[in-house]
Amino acid sequence: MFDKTILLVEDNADDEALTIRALKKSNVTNELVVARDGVEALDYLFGTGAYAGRNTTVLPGLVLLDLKLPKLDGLEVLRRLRADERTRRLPVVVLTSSKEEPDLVKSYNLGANSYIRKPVDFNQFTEAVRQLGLYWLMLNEVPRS
Amino acid sequence: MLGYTAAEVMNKITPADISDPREVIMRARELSAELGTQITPGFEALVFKASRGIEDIYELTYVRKDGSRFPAVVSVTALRDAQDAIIGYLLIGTDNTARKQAEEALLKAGALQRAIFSSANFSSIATDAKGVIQIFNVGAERMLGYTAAEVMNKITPADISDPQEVIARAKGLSLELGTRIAPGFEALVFKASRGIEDIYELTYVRKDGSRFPAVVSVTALRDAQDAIIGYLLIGTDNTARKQADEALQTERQRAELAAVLLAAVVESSSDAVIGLDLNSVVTRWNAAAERIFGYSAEEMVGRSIRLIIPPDRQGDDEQILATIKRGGFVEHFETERVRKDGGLITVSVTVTPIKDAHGQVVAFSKVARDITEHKRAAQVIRQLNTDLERRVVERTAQLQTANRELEAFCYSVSHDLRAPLRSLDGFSQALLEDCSDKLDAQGQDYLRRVRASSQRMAQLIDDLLNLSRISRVEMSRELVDLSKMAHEVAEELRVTAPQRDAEFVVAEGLVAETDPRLLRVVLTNLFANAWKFTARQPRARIEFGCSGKNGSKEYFTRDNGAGFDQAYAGKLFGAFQRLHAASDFPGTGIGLATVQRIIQRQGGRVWAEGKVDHGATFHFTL
Repeated sequence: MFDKTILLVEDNADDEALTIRALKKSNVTNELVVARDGVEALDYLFGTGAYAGRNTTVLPGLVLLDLKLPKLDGLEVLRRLRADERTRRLPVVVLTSSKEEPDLVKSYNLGANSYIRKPVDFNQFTEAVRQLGLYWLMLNEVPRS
Repeated sequence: MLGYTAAEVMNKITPADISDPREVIMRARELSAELGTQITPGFEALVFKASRGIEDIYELTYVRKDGSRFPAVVSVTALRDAQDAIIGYLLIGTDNTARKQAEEALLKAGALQRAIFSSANFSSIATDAKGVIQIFNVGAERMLGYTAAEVMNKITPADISDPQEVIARAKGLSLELGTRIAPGFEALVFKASRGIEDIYELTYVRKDGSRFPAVVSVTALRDAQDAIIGYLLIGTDNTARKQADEALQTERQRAELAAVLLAAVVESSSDAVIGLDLNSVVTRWNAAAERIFGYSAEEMVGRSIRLIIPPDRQGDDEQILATIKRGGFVEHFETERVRKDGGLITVSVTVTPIKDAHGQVVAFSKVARDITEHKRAAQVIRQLNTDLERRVVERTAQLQTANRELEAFCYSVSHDLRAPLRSLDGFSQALLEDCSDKLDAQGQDYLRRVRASSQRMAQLIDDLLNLSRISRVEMSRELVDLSKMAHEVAEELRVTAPQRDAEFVVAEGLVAETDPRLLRVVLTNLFANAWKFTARQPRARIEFGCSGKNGSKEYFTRDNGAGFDQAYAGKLFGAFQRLHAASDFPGTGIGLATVQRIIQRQGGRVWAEGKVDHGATFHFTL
């Protein structure tokens, strides 16, 4: 569990802070990388832009992906991840504000592994993050290569 | 007579040798039978009766020397001596040819007469000079139903004729001939008695009282001195001809009536009906033609139809008439005509050829309908339709734009309005957790209030989004088991508070054609309301059923909860309208607005009945 990085793709600083707090409260201590827009997320994963030269063979254990993002939105990020052989099987959990039906349908069609709506109640949010970490970082198994 | 010389026959032959041998044989046979003694076919047969002293004159065919024959009447006498012994026979013969011929002619005439009198198809009635019936043949018997015996020497033909007609005939003849004729038998034979050939129609009356029309031919019968000794009335049954006449008459009347009707129809037609000869000269011009074209019949009949045809259309018209004249077919066509006042009108014209018995086109009939107004109206309708379509397209586009905007708005609300709330709630919680030592009880209470408000606002946003989603989703219609759905919704509520003593009473077998997802929202909202407002009842009772009234089904949910003041029943369905303090019963006031929107989208109706502390009933139709 400790060697698995979490990539949080989130543009809202408040949400970022709350997510980090929730992870901490849930005792999820994995390294957390934050990308603040879609382009930054792809740069990190593919070793481009600001992340040029990063060892891309090391992939995060989980991507928490918001949908409303500057530059490149979450759905587009997801589409590109699934189109690339390196990131095709990367666990991606959509973590967003809305539960509008079209967002749900598009996310799953593009290959999201899970879709979580962020609750307003922080206690509920913490509980959701705890279960997420537990499931995706501890229980879930992914292919090695 | 016989062609033999005396020398050739004397002392050589008997008279039997110059007689027809067959007749001699016949005569021998007949005499044998008559007299009861065997008589030899030969001379004995010729003289036997005379030999017995019986005077004997008979007919016999003699055969001449050349073989030809002639009828003779032979008188035979026995010659006797003084002792009365027969010493010979004398045969005196006369040539009977002339008499025989006359007799045959007579016989023939008699046969004709008999034939006439026995004909069943003519009633032959012969009377004496006074009219009393003397002969009444089988035809008369058959036609009139009397036997000859019933009428002969008893009545006159006037007695078996229609009395009214006999009187009328007497009157008519009296006038015609200028002499008084008695209504009776005289009226039937008067003309014949004056030597005028007389054939007339008369109604005979049968023995059973029924009648039939007869044609009677009357002839006077005269003796050698030309005095009238009687009359012969030959009648034929005229029923069939009479019926044929009547049928013909009826047919003629019908034809006349049809012609009158046709004329009336033509005259009253709202279409112009115009008759044309082959040179396009008007022969008929009805009232509608006068009205449509402005010319009177007087002005048009005898003039060319070209008067009302615009110059650029004259060729067309000639071509059409030529086509029809050749036997071609021209469907009704639209064209333009010029009224007397110069105005151009649009007409729909049908041209029909009028043909003679040989199929030759001899004239034309034109029926024209003024469709100017119709055309104008059609143009207006087309314009309106075009406008309408354009407006529909515009409105649809506007609606689509509005819908897209609404969706974008909702999407935005969904994402962006919630994020700050999460911050409010999350950081309030963080404060409570991390800085509780720096906050007194009041400060902590304030933070809890911030959190509660944030969460409540999040709930409001969710409910509003649901309400707007209801208006946007596409509706389906399928058969839905409402009872089953009600049970499921009830169960969902029950598990939220298993400790509550609540009874759900759901009528079974309720099925409706509706959108299952939307109806589930309705039932969920209504049941949740009932569930909420019965929370303080020691024993909650929530009912779902259907009362069919006027053929339309009314569904209802009823509870024994807090109820409401009926005066506010109308306000219940407005968004954010609440009749209870949130502290008493929590809620956003969107639920019933959602229910109403769903029911109304399906074309149904929803209304509420309630009384404070006596529960509420919600009715809806689909």
